[in-house]
Amino acid sequence: MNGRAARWFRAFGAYLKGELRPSLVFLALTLAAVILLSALVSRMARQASEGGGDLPADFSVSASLVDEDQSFLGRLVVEYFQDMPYISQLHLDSYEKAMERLANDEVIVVLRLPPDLFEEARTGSQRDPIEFWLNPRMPAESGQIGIIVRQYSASFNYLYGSVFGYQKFYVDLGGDEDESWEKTTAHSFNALASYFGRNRYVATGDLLSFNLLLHVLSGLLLVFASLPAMGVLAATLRTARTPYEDRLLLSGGYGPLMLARLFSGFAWWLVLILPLLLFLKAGGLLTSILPAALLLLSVFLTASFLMLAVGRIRAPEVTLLQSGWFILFIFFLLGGVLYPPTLFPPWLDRAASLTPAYPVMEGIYRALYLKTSPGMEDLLLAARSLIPAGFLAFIFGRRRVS
Amino acid sequence: MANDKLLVRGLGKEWAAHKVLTDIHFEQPPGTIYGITGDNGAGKSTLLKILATVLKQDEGQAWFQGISIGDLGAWRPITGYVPQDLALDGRLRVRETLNFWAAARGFSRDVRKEVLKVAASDPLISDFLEKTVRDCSGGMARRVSLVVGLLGDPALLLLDEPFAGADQASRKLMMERLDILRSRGRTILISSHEADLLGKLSNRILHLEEGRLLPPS
Repeated sequence: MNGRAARWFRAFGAYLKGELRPSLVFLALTLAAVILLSALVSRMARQASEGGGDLPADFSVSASLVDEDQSFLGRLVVEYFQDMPYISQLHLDSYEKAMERLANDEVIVVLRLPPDLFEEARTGSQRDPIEFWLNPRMPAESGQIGIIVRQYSASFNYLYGSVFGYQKFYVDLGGDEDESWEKTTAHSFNALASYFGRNRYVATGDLLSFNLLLHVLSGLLLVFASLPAMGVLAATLRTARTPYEDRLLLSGGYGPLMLARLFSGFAWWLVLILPLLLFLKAGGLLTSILPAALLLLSVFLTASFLMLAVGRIRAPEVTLLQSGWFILFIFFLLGGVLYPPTLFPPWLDRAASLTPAYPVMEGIYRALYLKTSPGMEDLLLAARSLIPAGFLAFIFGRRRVS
Repeated sequence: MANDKLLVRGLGKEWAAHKVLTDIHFEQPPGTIYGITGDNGAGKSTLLKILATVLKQDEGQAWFQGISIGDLGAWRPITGYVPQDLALDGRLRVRETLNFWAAARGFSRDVRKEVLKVAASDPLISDFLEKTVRDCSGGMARRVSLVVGLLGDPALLLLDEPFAGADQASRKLMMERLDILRSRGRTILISSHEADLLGKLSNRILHLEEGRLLPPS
């Protein structure tokens, strides 16, 4: 190591010691508190994951069906719904009874098949739509149903066009129009039902079941991973534009100081995150710590880079602190800590997916839910925010002589 | 420009369209103390901050020992700056303060040990090495600030109001130290409101008025 590099590292060491020294006792107390919290949370999460907790581990739906069509098509729909694994209870109700159940929170969704559905479907001139009512007091579940319905709707549109063409062809071959229509419709619907019956969208698709406790746990990890960035901001603001900072700048340069602040924040990150990850690993909820740690580290670094830049804006300290909290709030909101992204409208979900916390929250939740580790794709998605944030820190976060 | 002198040529600085310093010219040979006087806002601190490279001049240039002020990597190691405010961490003991700033300047462990050894017999601070800075009196804290500025034995020393808040005993000790440094060939610039004190200490007084250097009377 040449003389200049050695001086640089000595300055870095001095600054890091200076940053950490005043908070050593508080760090130790926080570590003790986080260890206790981790043990508690890990136990609860394990119980919930194993289905032993008070909270439902899996997403399930109770529904009412109002069949005003009363054709064989209605009966097929009933059979199909009864076979769905995530529908825990299906009521065959009148319209009034179904609405009463919805109002009493007995069901999450009401499905109404309009009169003459089959007749209109076979001619391809449907007037009355199939109607859904989703329970507004169960937004998380309703949101998930909304997504499933949208996915089914798109598939129906596509398949219906194919089935209709096939029916016409069958009539030409069979001769008896009524019998042909009935048989082809039944056959097509059976094929359709078996297609959906494979749980294509709910078991192997992107949409995971909603587990409240695992969601809270993922959110807690994300919050804990981001909080040390506020320490980076506070440290920057404490000395910004002071003679003390002038002295630091002249003695060792600003680079070691910025890095020392990042490492000081990293020490807090370790204290807040590592015990939780260790307990989750010990509890069998995570298969390995490193990928999850890297995912959470990326959100800390992104937030810290932003705070280094915010800390150098010429504005009152209290304004900048509020700005820092606001940035973290946006991280949490769009990351899905406060509300699951499944509740977001599609445009907001797309926009949120570009923000730094979103892939981290998703990756951690998936890892906890599936008892696996975040994959390389999650890591790459999370790491992409580091480049613009690092650029901002490099350009605006440095103390400049002006 | 191979020259041991501090050469200042046409330095100027502007804040929000207001000229804080205008066309500052002077040269200072090694082994001298120059005092800078002037009213509040005359530009004394700004001039020292520019020479310390905390601020950048808008116009003009300075050289010291042939090094341009723009060459920060070469200029800063040979410069010691004592700001007007104490600019020290009040939670640290004086011994720890010296160790911290020595490390911040990149001194090795052995050199830092030597710094602390010298400090133990330094009349400026040896009596209160184990006190925290916040427990030091105003004069003691000023002396610590000066010693921190002297770390690395800089050839150019820039002191902004170093005697402010210091008692008579502290001032005497500090002036004795500055006198010794002058005799060792250091170039020292001191800004102060206290004209009498500067008059006793300095080889020459630079008087600033509204950012301009007045000709010697």
